[in-house]
Amino acid sequence: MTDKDKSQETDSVHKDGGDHSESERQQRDHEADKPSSGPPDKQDSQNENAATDSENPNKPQTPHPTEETNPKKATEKPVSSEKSPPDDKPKRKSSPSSKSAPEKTEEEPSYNQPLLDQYLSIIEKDLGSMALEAAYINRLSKHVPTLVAHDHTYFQVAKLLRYHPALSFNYLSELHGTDLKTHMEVYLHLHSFEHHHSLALKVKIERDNPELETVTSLWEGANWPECEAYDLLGIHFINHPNLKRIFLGEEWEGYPLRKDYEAYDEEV
Amino acid sequence: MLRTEEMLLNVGPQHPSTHGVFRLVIKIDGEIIKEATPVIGYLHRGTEKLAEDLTYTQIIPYTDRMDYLAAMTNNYVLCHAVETMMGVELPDYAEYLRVLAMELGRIASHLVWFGTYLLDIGAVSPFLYAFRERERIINLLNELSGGRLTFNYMRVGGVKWDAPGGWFDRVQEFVPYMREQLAGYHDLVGGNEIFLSRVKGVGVYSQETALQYSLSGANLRCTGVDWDLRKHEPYSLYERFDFKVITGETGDAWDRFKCRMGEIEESLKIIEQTFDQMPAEGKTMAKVPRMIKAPPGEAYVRIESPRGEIGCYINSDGKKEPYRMKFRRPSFYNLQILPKLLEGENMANLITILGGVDIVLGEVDG
Repeated sequence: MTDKDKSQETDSVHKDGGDHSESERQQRDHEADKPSSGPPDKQDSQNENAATDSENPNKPQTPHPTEETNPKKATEKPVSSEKSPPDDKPKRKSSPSSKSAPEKTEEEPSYNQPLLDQYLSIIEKDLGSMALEAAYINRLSKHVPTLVAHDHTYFQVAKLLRYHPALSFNYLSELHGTDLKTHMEVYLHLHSFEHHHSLALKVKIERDNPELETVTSLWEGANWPECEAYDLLGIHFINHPNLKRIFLGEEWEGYPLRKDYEAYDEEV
Repeated sequence: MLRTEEMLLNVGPQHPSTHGVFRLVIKIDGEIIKEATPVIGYLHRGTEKLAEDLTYTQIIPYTDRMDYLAAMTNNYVLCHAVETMMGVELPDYAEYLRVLAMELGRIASHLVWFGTYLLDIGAVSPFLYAFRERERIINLLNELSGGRLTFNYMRVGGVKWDAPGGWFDRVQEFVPYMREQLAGYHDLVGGNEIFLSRVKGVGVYSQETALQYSLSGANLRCTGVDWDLRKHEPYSLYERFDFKVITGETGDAWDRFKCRMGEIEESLKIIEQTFDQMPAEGKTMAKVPRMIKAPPGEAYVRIESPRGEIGCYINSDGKKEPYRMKFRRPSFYNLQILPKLLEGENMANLITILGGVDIVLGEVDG
């Protein structure tokens, strides 16, 4: 991953060299920063040492809360997966700074891969192999396991994620929609306070008449975020208890976060 | 039995205890609230829409205006999201500066809450004390960033500039001073019987309810959930600090008060440890290209703001502007539980409960 990023960085540096008009606004910021830039190698090695040193005393602490709040974690699977995040932390911390082996991290399966496999096997067992459109590790987003559901299986998948004892994603951290021009996408970030796992659930829906089953019956906290997605993107959440235009008001025309939205005042 | 009539009462949008423009329509039967309907959106500025036409660096000042009481954490969440996508590793020195700024901001934010909350429920003097201390923090952050509330201090890859001469000494002096004042607050307020009877057992909810409603921050921790992203999903350098996650037991307004006051003390501890660990000097910026471009893809990061879990989602198509940007604003999520809490409550508890949620309207409306 780091290798790719680096090539992109250098790429954009070259491009920006010629394109001053675009970057002039930013130039002032960077002039202030320039004098302080020096050789990075020293800093990095320090960084790494300090990180590993300080992580060690913390390591035994991190699993503690999970053990206390979750007395019935008798099954084998959650236990093994519970331990994996703290073990993997040093890896994640050091991977961007250890420039010696960037290709390896690209090919190596992510430290969250076992978790994803576990989710997939549970979902396949309960809902069949057709329930999901895709499932992958999003390396850009701190290696969060990401599931993409079909619009007709979305609610079933969400329900399973919420109530299955080995999953129990009981906390909705975030819900929002995105207009991708060809279709709409709804993104949920879930967290399980029982197993301390995070997961992203996505679903693609058609753009012309975007409709999706509400998840307010699973997570009460989805109420306002769904209203927000309805208000700004026009996604209808079916069976929502009180779907309203939460910010703009009912008389507002159009959905501002859609890409083809025309602003009332062009100057804004 | 006395016959009562249902009455519609409108609170806000211009009402001092709503701390901004927040409207609450309540149906009351005598003294009892039957139904409460929050009306929001008065401060909606379309930050997410505006962000789609701005470069990442240009979006930073907009984040200041969401949660204007803790703008440093907002700066951080945006920079952190872009840095996560780009795989930028920050110099230690810059991270320590960020931690200092964020923790000072956290204290300042909790002080505003402490002062205004007590003002709302009738105690005027704590407000004056809290704002006196807060003013010192604001001055410190002003020296650091050049802004009193809207700092625009952080950049993708580091911070805008180094701290001015003598700044660290002044922060170090502030810590024991704040600690002394904090002890004074506990004498003044924590043991006050009137205050205790106003907040104890008011606005109670269970752990399950808190999780079900996606509450975060002190609103979640007051029910006993041991959850602080600084501790449990460490970002920045928080792994290196020894601090406690303050939790409550009963989930009432009193516990929320204790959580927030406890967090001030923990933030002071973090600031002290920063000075022990921090290198004397270092780089304030990592090596980043002049034009910041997040690689194509999407990322969602979340960090602990004074009000709870603040998140930033970026969907990038590789250009210098985000394709779609979304902020998970803790106040917006935390406020959802309000109608449930107010139902069946006594009118006199309305302000106690609303204030206890600790909302910032700039953040609710986004």
